[in-house]
Amino acid sequence: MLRFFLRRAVIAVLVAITVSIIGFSLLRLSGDVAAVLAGESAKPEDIARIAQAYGLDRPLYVQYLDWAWHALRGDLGQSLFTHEPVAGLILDRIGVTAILAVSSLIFALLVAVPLGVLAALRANTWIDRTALTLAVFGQAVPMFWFALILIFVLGVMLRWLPISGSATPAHFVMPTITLGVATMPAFMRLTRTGMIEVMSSDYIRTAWAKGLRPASVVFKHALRNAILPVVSLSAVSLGFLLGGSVIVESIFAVNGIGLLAYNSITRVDFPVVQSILVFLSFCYIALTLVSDVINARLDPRIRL
Amino acid sequence: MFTNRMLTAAAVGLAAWLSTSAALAQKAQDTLRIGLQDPVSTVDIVYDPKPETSFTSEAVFDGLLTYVSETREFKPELAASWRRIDPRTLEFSLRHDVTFHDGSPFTADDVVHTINYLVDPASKIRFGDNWQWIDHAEKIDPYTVRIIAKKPTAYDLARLATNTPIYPAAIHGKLADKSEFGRKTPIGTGPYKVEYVDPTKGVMLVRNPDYKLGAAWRPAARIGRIHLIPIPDLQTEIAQLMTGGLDLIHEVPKDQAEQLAATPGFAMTANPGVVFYYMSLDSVNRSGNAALSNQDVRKALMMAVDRKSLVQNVVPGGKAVQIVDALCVKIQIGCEYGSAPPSFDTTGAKQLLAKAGFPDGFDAEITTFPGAYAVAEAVAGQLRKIGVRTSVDKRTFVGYRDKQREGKLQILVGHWSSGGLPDVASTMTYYFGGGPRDYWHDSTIDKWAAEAEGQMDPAKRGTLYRQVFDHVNAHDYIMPLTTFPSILVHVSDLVVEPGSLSPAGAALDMMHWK
Repeated sequence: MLRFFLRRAVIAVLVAITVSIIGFSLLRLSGDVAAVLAGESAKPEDIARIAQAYGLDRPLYVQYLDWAWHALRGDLGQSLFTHEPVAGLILDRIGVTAILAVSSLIFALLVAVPLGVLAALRANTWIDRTALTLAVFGQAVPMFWFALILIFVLGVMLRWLPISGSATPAHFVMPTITLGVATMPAFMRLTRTGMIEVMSSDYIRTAWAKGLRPASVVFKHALRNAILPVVSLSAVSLGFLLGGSVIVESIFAVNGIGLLAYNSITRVDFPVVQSILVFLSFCYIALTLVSDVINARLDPRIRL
Repeated sequence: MFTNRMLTAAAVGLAAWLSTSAALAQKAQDTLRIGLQDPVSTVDIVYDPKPETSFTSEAVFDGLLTYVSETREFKPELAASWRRIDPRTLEFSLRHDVTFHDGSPFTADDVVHTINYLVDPASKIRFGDNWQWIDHAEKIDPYTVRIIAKKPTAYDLARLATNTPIYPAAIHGKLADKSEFGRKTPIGTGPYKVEYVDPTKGVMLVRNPDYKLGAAWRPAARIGRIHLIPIPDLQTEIAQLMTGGLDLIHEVPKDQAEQLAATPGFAMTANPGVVFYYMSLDSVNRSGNAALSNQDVRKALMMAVDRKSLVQNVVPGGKAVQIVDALCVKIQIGCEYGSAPPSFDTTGAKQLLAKAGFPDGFDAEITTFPGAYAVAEAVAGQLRKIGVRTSVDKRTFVGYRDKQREGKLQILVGHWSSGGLPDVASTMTYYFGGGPRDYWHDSTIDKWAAEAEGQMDPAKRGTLYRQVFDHVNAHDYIMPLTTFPSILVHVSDLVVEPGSLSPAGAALDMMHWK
């Protein structure tokens, strides 16, 4: 097990380094940062002055190595526009994004697992088809559209919930529903498939034959086995939710990492975008590693 | 986008019967809430120069002087008066009764510190070129300072009147990281004090009860508290406005602004400002489209553009939208001209195109950048009517700047803010001078522009600019299109007085409740 973990950890580190190099290169290729900083009316000499002041006139690999060296020591640089330390910007916002991600995951699981169980127990009935339709809806509906519909109905028409901000728990309800609905389909399908498979297995037939109560058969014996893949998927989904909240946070003005990324992308605030990209990649890689380890723990064949 | 518009339309309809009592309640509480799509992280425009920061910076800080667009005059703020000692030297007599928000007195030391900080090459300031014409500032006595330019600079007063806040030397001077000033200790002399700058909650400004100036061009604060709230999404802002969560939003597209303004309880204010749309044509074949080197072709393209239609159907702002005949707006110093671009004439345009050897038209690409997409699409449609097969390349600012430097702009439909300067000097360096933005390489214009920059006689300077603008029109280089007003949608209980040249479209001290 330890050997398996170390092998996966080395791969994770290599992936992280690759992501940081590709991200750095792509961001720099997206345009001349010095020209943006110098402004619309800047003359070429002004742009050259800015490039020198911000160290943007150095070779790209030198800039990357400089950034990586400082990043390893916890210094992610400063925002080019506000001059705030990037590490501070991320730390100030990670809590809000984590709350949103975890609450969305819990919401998705609370909806998806019962729905998946119900769909499996009533396979090929209208209940199953309704559950699958809901899953297709969650998968297909654009997040920004669903968010605006929620704002329109719950915020403007009914005035039940605050429309934007992150000051109170109520502010998180609509963003949580939006992200949760987008995350829910995979859990629902996995639960349904797992339950159908498990319900037809020998030990469940034995449980029925022993005369156990239906609730005991379904929840104690069947669901405990069927839900194992869902547990490992949750770790990966959390990574998706941490990085996938850019649109939701910007629509609902939730002051998390997603909103910081959105604002930084629109301004080409290169150090902030680079750091968020790497930070979220590391989160995703770490959570995938956790998922791999859980899977290997549950299924010894994976370790081979 | 279509879905967003439909949602807005439906929501605006609902707003007619939804109560606007929340907005009225805010008036009673004397708190104005403004939605900002781009959040303000510092109230200091020197460190984050953008329209949203100008809201806060102009409210919190005074400059030495200001420019009043209605009368085209400079008026005092922190300076009681000024005089020109010689072509390079301006002397300012400062007011004796001004204090900073922390109660400390304002003196010449503060002006000298601020100016010398702004011109220091070691200061890491993005738009530092705004002050690079200054050599240094020096104190004559506690209430007299001199600002000495490197060479005679005719737009010196205009530049000092634009986005040049005066800092308290005792506080700003001590900071190792000057960028912290606008976030942590933003102390100014302006009509509003800063209560907090918070990335989540936004910026809260409160009335400065000790504000002494109180002139018509720089009134004291008339609203108790102003809360600038970050909301990046326009549709969310509109929803907040309709449900009483905001009192004012800006940068609203034409159709949505007009829908909202037609709803009871809401109003739209359009401020003309100094921004205008233009269509520029590559006359020296940098872009590889040789047809544009032919002046008859350029003239035909200009004749195909119906600017009245742009005013009526594309550019938001109602009566504030005006056709522009030169690369400037009349309220700017030096905006002198005696000519206009070719009149709209589709038939004549087709004939001219045929005469130039393009009876079947030709292929051309219009490049545009944010803020000008709709105008570019409209212009492309108008050019297609005379047979020019136009495509539109919508770029981000970064992408457009890269393409510009690479010399690939055939036709550019964009907008120019004059850098917020109430003077046409910045327009000369923006378009001409042989840099990457220059697609005309006309040494005559460069000579006149350079001469005008150092010409201290306003009449002679005006004549030089008249020559430049008429020359541009005579050679069909760039077609000015229309003004680009700033659009503000707000509760009808709020009055937004016109006249601000702020890139945000309005000044907070020019707002008050009915």
